[in-house]
Amino acid sequence: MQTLAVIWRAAGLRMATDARTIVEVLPPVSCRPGAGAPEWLRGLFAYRGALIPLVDATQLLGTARESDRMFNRVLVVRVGTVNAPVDWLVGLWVESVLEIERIDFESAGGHPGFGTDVRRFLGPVAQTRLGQVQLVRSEELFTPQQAAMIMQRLTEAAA
Amino acid sequence: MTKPSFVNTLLGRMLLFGVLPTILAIAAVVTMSAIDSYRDLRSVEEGLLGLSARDAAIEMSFRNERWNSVAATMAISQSEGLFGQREATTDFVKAVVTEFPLIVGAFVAYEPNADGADASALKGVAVSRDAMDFAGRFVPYWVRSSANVLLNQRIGMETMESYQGPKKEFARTGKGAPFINEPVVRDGVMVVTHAYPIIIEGKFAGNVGLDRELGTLAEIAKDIRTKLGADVFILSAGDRFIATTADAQTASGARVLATQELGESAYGAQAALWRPTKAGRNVFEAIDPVLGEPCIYATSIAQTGGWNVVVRRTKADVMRLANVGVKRNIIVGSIGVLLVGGLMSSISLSVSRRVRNAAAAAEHIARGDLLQPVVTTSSRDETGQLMQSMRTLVANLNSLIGSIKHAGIRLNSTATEISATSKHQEASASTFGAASSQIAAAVKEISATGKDLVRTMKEVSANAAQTAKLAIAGREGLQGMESVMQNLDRATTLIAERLATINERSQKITTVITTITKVADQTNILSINAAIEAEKAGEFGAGFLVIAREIRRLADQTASATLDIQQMVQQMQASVSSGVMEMDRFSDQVRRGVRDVVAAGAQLSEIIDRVNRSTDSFKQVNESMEAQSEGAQQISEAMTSLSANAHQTMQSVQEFGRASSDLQAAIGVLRHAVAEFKLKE
Repeated sequence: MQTLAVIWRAAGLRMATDARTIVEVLPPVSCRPGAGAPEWLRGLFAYRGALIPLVDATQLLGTARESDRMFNRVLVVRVGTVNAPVDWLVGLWVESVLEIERIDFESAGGHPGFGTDVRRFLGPVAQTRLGQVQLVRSEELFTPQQAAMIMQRLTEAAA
Repeated sequence: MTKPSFVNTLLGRMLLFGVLPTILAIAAVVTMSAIDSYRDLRSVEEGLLGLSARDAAIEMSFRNERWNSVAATMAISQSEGLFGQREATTDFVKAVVTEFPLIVGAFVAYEPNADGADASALKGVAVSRDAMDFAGRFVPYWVRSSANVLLNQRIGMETMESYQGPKKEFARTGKGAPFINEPVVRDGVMVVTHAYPIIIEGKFAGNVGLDRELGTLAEIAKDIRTKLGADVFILSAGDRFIATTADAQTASGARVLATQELGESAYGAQAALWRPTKAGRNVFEAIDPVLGEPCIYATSIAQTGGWNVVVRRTKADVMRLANVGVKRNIIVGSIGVLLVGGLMSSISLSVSRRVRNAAAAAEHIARGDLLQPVVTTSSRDETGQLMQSMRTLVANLNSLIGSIKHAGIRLNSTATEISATSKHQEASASTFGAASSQIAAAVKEISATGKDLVRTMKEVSANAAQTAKLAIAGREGLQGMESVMQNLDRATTLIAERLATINERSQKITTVITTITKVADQTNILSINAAIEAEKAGEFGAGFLVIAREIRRLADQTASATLDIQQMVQQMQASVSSGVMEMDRFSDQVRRGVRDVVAAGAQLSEIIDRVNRSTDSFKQVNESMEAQSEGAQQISEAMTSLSANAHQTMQSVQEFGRASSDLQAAIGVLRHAVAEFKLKE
């Protein structure tokens, strides 16, 4: 089954995210950094009247943060988890958006990935005209601890 | 001077050719004299020995003759009356034996019945039977027996040599002659028989004889030995020893040689020598077999009896006197040789020493050493005169060489002064020549330089005029250039202002481009969101998705184009900025150029003024230089002439210097030669 995927770059890698999970693509936004927050959490920024966390994809992937550029983009992604009372949004700061393309990750020539592994961002890999592209599922974006920390905040805010 | 070998020295030659031959001649004379003396003495000694032998032989002959006379007297008494008177004859014979003690026996023997009384005698009584044989033949034989004289018969006399000898001799010669038989030993005594024939009426009627004891001959031999100091051997005609003084006695007292045959004795080997081949003196030398040393023998035969007397003396004994003589000769000769040799050697040494001293003095003189004193001698001979002459020569040479030496020193100092003076003159002339040459060269150079200077001055004058002309033209050109430069300055300023305007405009373009870029970016985001939204719209949004994609593509192209524009504008801005800076710098340079041109114009004006003022001065200098050049030319010619003269002078002085050097060298040679002599100060 072909999926419309937004192909982006972070930490030198080409990644893809299902367009249906993306709310909007934004130019670089200014955010309020949270003191004592982990490095991968850039802070909070205002989106359509609400403050949502801005997460640095490069640091989330485990490499050093790079300087900001005009062609950087913020993908507003809807993160749906099993235990979450509500869907929640998160801003994913990527290096650039490369393409929007339909990709069949399950067709021959692709790779199912290493789903059983505890590591994240190891979804299926497909061969496209841009090269190898790995699918990042929104539920695999954070580790349970990271997700729990964000969820707790969001729950408290909602209450 | 090498030392000659001894043979080549005067002493050697005098000794070799004077003393040695003299000594040799004297030695030869002495030796020959000694040999002659030896020979003479030996001859005399041998003669004496021979004479002794002869004397002994004569003595023997005399004694034999004497007893022969007694025998002859007995025979004559028979022939003169006693023949046939047997009794008287018997008594007569007895009286002979009794009378002569040396006679040990005497006999008368008639031929058988010679007196015709044999038969009657046998019957008679007057005569003893002992005086006849059994046939009555008268053969009385009186024999001395100790103190008595006994009558015996003379039996067997026919076979006896003492009987047959005279008989045969008478038969051969027809005359009576004494006969001495070979000695025989009878009763331990050597006896010789002297016999004489009885001749009656020319016929042999028997013979008489007497036996003589030869023991007395030993005494005679002793006497001879005592006289001569020589051993005497007396041998019978049959070579039997009769007596000798050299006979050894055996233990029993018997004589070894006496009665022995010569051939059977120790001297048997010399028998041939002992018996002389001719009568008279016969002397020979042989090794004595008994004594074992060389001995000289002399032999002589007794005329009567034919006995041989041999006298022997040892050679050492014989030659003692000769040796003494020879020794004396040698001693005297040696003393003579030594005296002559010593005297001649002494003279040779003396002469040689003086000549050697003279030679040494001559060698010192030859070496030039006149300090060595000449040895003086008291001798007034030629060598002494030679030494005196040498001393005079040394003194004269001392004086002469001393004078030459002083003269040489004075001459050398004078020559040195001359040489120094000539060298000084030469140096002066050389310096003068060099200086004049330098002056000439300098003047020449001055002349040439003056000419060059005149020429240069002319050129300078012309150049100055030309320069003035050019300067005037340059000043005019500069004046034109100044206005051009001012125009250029103005234009430059204008360009700078325009460029500033361009810069400003380009900055505005940059702002527009930024805006366009932002719009394109926004459009890009918009297109992405549109695509997302179209996907969310499902199949209703499919067409919109296509539009969104196109929009995004256009946005991307716009972004790309604006990027190009931005880059171009940035390049233009950089060029304009650098252009503005270059124009500013150029403008500055132009301004400086204008200032320089103005200054150059002022300087040119000054140059023109000065050049115009210099022209007159140049002319004056030029004339002076020409005059100076001519003067220098004249000086140069004069200096060249002077230099030539100086050169000639220097050559003359050099010649003089060489001559004085030669003189000095000659004086040096003279001094060197004189210096060889060591003089008394």
